[in-house]
Amino acid sequence: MHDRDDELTAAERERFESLPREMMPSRLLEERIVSELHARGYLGERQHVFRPAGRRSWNPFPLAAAAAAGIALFASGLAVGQWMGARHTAETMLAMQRQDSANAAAAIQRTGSAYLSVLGTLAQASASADPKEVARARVAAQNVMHEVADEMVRLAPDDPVSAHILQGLDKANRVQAASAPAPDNKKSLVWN
Amino acid sequence: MTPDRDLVEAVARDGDEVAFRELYRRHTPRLYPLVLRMVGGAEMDAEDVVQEAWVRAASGMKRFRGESSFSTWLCAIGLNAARDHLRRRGRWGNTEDVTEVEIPVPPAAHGQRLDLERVIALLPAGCRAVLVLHDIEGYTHEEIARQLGIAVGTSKSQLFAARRAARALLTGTKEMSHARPR
Repeated sequence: MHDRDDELTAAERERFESLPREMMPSRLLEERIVSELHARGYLGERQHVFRPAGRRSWNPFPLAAAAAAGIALFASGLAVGQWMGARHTAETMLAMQRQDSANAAAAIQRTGSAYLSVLGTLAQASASADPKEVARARVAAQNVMHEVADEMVRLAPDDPVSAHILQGLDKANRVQAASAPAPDNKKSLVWN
Repeated sequence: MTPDRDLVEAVARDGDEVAFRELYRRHTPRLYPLVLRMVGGAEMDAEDVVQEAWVRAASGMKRFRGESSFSTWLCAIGLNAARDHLRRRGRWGNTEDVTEVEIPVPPAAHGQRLDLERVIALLPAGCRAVLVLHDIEGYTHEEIARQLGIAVGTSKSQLFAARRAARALLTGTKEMSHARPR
């Protein structure tokens, strides 16, 4: 109808084109509309998510979930680590105890064998007429008894028998040392 | 990005608030300035119309078939809501009767150049609607006629009157002041 003589000039067209085609209303409008739609039953269960319109807002849920997951992972790792450590420690202690028991049994076995060997030597020496040999045999037997008692006290500190034997031997040694010079071969006993 | 169609289905089927908010944020920036210009730049009125448009859209989402884009569908609802709003305020008037009205140039505009947005807001509602849809939104006269429920010829007359009045206001003259806001 009026198209022929009423076309926009280039400047007018540019002016119209420069007008904004997109604008966001106040962000409260979104909440107002959502509330209205809930009230009218067009929307289901209300979800309390408020994000500023026009841009993505920071949502704390993923970060909180990640933090919770991190804490849970750390706590579980700590617990497992403690459990592993405790179990390892217990196993180590048990192994040490087993090792101590084995060592102790071996030591007792060795001590017993040495004691029997010394007793045999002492028996042979008692038959000898040489007083020096008898004296050496006696000192050897005494040292054996001392070592055995010492080992027994180490294994069972509360064992009264071992403690008394050790105290008796120490006392005898002190009396002997006070009355006579110590024999040179006191520490010369060799356990074979 | 979730397609509009899926979001519409989620709102229509489940009343999914998150899907609705996504739709709102995608399409309100396009709807709002259209409605704002249609109602003459009154922000509170525009927000009321946008709200009404979304309420109508939510109630009709089950009927949305996707034959046009969601944005086009929503804007059509917004235009109807804006027209209804203007009618309730008595500002829509007889859109066929454009040659008998005048546009009084506001006192502040005598000898001054007005901002284009202000000029558009000063136009009578019928002329303004056609100008906004044709020169800003890019609708054809056939689309405008269908959308506003007027004849194609009326749309062209309205545009002619609107452009001449706008030029007069923009140049600060009363060159073409034969249309009057209602």
